[in-house]
Amino acid sequence: MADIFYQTIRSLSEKLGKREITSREITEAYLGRIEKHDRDINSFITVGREIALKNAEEADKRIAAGEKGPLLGVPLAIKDLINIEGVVTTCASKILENFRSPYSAFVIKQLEQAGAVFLGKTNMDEFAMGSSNETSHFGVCKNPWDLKAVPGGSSGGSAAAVAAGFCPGSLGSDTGGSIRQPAALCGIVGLKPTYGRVSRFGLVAFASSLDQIGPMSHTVEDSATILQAIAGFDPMDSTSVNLPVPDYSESLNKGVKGMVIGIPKEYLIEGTDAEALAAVKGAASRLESEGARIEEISLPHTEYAIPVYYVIAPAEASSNLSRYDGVKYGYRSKNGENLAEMYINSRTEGFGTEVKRRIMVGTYALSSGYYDAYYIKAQKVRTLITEDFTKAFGKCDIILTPTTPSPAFNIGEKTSDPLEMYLSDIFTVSANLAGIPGITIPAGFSSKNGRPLGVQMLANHWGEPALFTAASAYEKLRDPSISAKTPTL
Amino acid sequence: MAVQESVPQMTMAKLTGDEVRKVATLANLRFDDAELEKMTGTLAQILGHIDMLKKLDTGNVPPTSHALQSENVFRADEHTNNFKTELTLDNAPAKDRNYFSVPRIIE
Repeated sequence: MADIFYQTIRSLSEKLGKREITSREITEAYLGRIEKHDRDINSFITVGREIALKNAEEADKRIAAGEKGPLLGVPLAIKDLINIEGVVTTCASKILENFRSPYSAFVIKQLEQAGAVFLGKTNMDEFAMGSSNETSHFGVCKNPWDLKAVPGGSSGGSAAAVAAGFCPGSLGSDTGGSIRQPAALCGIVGLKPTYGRVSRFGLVAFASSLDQIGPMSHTVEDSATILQAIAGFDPMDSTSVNLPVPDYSESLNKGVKGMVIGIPKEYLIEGTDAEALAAVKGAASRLESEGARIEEISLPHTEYAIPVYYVIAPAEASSNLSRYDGVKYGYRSKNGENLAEMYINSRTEGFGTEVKRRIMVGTYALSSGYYDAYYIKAQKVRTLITEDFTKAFGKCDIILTPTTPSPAFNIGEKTSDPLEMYLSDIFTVSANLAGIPGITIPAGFSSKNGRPLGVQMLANHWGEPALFTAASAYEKLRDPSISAKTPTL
Repeated sequence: MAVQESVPQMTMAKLTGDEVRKVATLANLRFDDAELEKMTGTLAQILGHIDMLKKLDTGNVPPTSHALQSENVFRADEHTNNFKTELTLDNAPAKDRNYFSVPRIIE
């Protein structure tokens, strides 16, 4: 059974279809591995053994009845800010420690229909605010490749769980890089879809104009399979876009001949790890050898993306998180004589430091006298960043960049300097501001510390098919030893 | 000619503990003196970084609130919520019969 742990969704699905193995057997095996090794990794906040086995038995019945499907009977892990009815959704915060979801998110209903099995809820930065998983109320999650290293964040648990062989795929959410950055640092594939492609109904809101749910997996094909299941219009999310969902499997393995790949000169900046840059150049030359054309492009407002993001995301967060006041759900302080005191004490005792910091930045940026200078100013620069991409995609189909400026950093290395931590998202935040899709693909390992490196590909709005084409091409062209390597637990 | 935007003269050197305390009040948060001092320092550092946006002339640039053009979404004003009251109250920190219970508001 040990040989199933690093199999792809595709391969598990084939074994299930041929009745070589049951979903219950696969699920039991993963649960066993989680039980044995997650003490060291801490990738799960909640392991839902009973629900998982119930899902698995249901899937086995459907398979026995002749049903087929790429996710039928396949176990997945879900980031702990996506609601599953009857299961605790903590957002890795004390304030939601005991919150039991009264309904399931749209993506969960879609995955249930597809027959997926939910193994549990994964660790993350509190309210998805962080790039290292260190702000979790439930303790830091560790990088399976090196337990001294962070897994990245905020979807650190979802990335680490896949990398550790606890599940073949997971869901994360990406507000400024929270799927792509941890996926890169853990050596897996992570996709942030176009804003509006996947419903946010049942996703706990951080920054509503930026948040998007997406898949994390071993391969590009598996990424497409999960996206296929969760994408689509949902009237319950007013920003969900009613466009037909293409058959993403058709875009895989099409080859990159004639495709134009842009490399933004502003991303090849000083301070970026030399091997991260070499990975981009290596990917470019391999794609070029298969008939893609490489162009240097310019995204002149790149340096403003972090400051814009750290106005807009905290501003939206300060508004979204005002609902946590201890009245209807969540943590309520026992201190306080009156209602106003109860609000303040519940929030002060319930939120962690980073969440408070972002609420403070956001409240400041939205406060009277500063609204124009910070919030409106940031929204205007957001327009300039979006226009940069519009112009760039007039010249190229795909933009190729490093996913992160460096491989995973050490636990504790950046916690004392929030700004330094924020800058680790420098290559990922722009895609959220512009609403475009982005994918990260494993591209090698640091020669210094053996930690994974990723390359990122960005496409224009609704350009997921182009991303899958280019990413699956690169996946085949890269050094085959990259996908053969697994961490030792 | 670009419209001159009003930019308050707020730079990192000028952020005071009193201002941070005022923002904390707006955010329904409380910090003790040591926390306040630390928060003032990090906020000044973060706002100092954000201040680089001032370098850009954005007089004629429209603001973006959503990456994709979004339209108002309407639906019929009909009851669609099937939640049972008990289910909603399951997460209540304190309840009394079918109500959320909170500390006394009226003396």
